[in-house]
Amino acid sequence: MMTYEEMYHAYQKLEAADQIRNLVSNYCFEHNCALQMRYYRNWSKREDIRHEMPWGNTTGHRNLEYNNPWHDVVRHPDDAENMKGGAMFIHSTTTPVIEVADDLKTARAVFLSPGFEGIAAKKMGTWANSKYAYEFLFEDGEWKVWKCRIFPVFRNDYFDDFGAVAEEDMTKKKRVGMEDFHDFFRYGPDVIMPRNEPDPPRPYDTWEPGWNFGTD
Amino acid sequence: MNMQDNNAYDKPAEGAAPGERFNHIENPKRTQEEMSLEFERLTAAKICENLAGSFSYLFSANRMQEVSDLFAHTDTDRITMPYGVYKGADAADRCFLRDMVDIDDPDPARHEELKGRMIIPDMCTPIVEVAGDGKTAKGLWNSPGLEAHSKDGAGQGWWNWSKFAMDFILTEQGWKIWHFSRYLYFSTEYLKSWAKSPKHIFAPARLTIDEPAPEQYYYTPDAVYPDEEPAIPAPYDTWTE
Repeated sequence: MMTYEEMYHAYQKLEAADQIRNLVSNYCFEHNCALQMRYYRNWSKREDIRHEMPWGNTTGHRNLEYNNPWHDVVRHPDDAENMKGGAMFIHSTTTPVIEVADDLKTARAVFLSPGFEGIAAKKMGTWANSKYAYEFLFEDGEWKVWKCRIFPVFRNDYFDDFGAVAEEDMTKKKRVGMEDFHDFFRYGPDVIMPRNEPDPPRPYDTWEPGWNFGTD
Repeated sequence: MNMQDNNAYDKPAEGAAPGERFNHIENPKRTQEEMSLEFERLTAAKICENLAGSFSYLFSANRMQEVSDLFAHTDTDRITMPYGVYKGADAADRCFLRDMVDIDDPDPARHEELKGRMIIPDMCTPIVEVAGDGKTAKGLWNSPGLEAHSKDGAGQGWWNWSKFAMDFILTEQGWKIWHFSRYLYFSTEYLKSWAKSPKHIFAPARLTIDEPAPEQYYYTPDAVYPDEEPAIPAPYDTWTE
């Protein structure tokens, strides 16, 4: 039988897992309507926040915003104009594995994301499937994103077989604030699925480096 | 107020709607023992959902030894795949390590089989019910999954949608998958309608199944969707076959 202290600890871990799930779902719905600025507020205040995307990795708040310009309709009105022409970003999250550290200071989570997008400039629809790995911090009474890495699976035109079309190389366009790239999986008939894209989290007591993020 | 007024456990679990037993509590007070069990059950539901999710990521990555480690390995383990049924303590080892291929398999010929194999079974729409006694649990997921395989030297994408039903059991090593069943809706090449594709099942070349798969629903224009295949988990007090 649990003591009252153990029950309260269990309650805090369960509540944290629910809040983290909601935080990630919130990103999905805000991304739908390009409220990327609001998304930034879901991040920790720390300057070691890490955003690892298919087109490049960034550290810190300034670089995070520079590296995601086209969703920022406030600072980039040209892109805002473009948003009117059929842009749509739907990145659902499924298959959660959420582990809250026993010390309640950090959490880890992975999700699958069967997504689809409307590409405004091309007037076309695409599938955009990926996987997410997150680390979170409990900061000022709220759970905040600390690190996020996206593992693309495929991004193909609706009428193209995702098994036959190579994943787009998104690393060619240099953007302000990008620091480095990570190699990511591209499906091919001779390719073996990578071991750790992503590695599902296991129960842990307190944060240590080395899980899913190249900078640790 | 007398704890006898606490009606949470007075109503029979079988046949109750989800949450019904706990949504109409005349006396919200609990003994420490009752509260402890409720926290254990809530925690167990989260652990079981993580087990199902972990299965998906590890299976995708061909980390089959770790997939097998998610299972209870009891004499009553059962794994029902669309191509056959595995039973017993070595069911998971035979299904995932012997008939499929682990990413660390030392045999180069077997390792070669992993090329071009991409299987991503999403886990959506979870229903997880932990027994009132906190010793077992039942879960059910929809899985809008996708696969890609090598075909004549090229990649071929597939839609592979199914349901996953899992029973879980609390062991000395924690919660483990006990019974595992996959029910296919359809499996069709990316550019073909599932309504116009013949029945298709991906099965390993090596099979050490104990018995053939039971007859199951698979979409065809004439197939009638079955009631409760599998049974939708409902609140229950203790495991019964």
